[in-house]
Amino acid sequence: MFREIFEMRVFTAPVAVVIGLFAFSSLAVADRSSATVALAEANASVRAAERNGASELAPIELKAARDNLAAALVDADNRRWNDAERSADRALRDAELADAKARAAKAEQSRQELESVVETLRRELALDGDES
Amino acid sequence: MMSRSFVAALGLTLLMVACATPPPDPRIADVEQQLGSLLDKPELASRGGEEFKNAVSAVRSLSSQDYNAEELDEAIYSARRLIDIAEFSARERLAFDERKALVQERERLVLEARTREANAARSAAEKAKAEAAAAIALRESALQEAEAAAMAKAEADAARELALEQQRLAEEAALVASSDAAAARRQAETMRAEAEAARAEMESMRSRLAELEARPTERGLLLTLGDVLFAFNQADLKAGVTRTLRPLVDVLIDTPDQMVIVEGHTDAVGSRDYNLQLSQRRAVAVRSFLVNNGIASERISIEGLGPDYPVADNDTAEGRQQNRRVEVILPNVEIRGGDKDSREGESGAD
Repeated sequence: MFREIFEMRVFTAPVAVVIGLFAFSSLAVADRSSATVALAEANASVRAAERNGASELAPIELKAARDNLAAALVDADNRRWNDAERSADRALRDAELADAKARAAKAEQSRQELESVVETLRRELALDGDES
Repeated sequence: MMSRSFVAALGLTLLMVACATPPPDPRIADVEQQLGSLLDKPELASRGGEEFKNAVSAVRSLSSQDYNAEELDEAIYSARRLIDIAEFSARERLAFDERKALVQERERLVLEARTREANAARSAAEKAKAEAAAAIALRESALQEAEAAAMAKAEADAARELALEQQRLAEEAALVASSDAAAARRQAETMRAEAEAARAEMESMRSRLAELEARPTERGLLLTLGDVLFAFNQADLKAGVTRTLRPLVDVLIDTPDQMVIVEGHTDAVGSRDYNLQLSQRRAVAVRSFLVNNGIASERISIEGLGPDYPVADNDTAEGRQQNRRVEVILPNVEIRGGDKDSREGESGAD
């Protein structure tokens, strides 16, 4: 059930709320509740990393996040809540890392672009300086 | 004893605890080292932020928390990820900070470029102004040169005018001189021709008057008519003198402008008054003859000179005969001294 929802990429905040309500209202044990929350957080982090360009800029870290998320979903489907929560936590860290790496790469890329612009300006000024 | 056994038990317990406490996991040291190397990078450590705090606290919890093996695995995994996240976050902030500096640098460079452009524009403007000033100066000097050239041209024109004027004057002078020379030559020619004519005329007259023994004198051509014309003490012309005087009449007819002076002379016999009257009458007789033969009386002047101008001795008969005479003078300025005048004319013509 969880896997379908996540793989359909319809796991939005309202869906998470519904899942949360379902988790609490189904008289589930504490393990299931915290695993569900961890899954939601991990999923949100993976999506955020994807939005920030991690697919291209941090593919290894993103893959790890997805793998861990997938494993967590399998565990959750199999009602192994502890395993599911653990994998979801790992997926969360992986996704956060992928996101940080992607943002750092973008920042570095932007810095390099600007640096090349500045270098071009410096060269032009040096040429101008040489002319004059 | 109990005390001893307690101490022994405590010691044994401590020993057991010591022996039971597992040695620290080597991964923890690895993680701590990973965090340490990150913290050793000041450009990153100074930009740690919340992510560094999380990483540090996670690493600390590894050795302080009592994890079971499974929990420790998770904690180490999480700590490693948190360290990496802290590093990338720091790198992102570093890139942002550097980018900020680059933005300022870019603004500085753009400003410098604009300043240089402005300076270049200003120097170009100054250069253009200098060039314009140079062009104006050039034009001024060109104008001055043109003015000088115009003045030189005017002077040259004036000089040429002067030269032309002088040339014209010289030509006029030459023309005048030439015409003067021509006039002088013509005059000389005329004079020579006139002299030639006069000489020819005189020669003609002389030859025609040869029979009358005409001879050139300073006063003109002088004909001495002796007593062949008159008898003693008579004023009438003898018969037959027509033939004698005919050549004179012919000459006078041929030369209508020729004046004639008739002078009567006597010898010294008798009173002077009488002789003066006698000589006058004889001159009148000759004039009458000439007038009767067609010579205008205005051409003829007469004078009775009596004995005042003897040509010979009055003491002898022969001398007195020579003194009784009528002299006919053909005064001609050109004939008088005519040979000399004609010679001068010829030399002048040359």
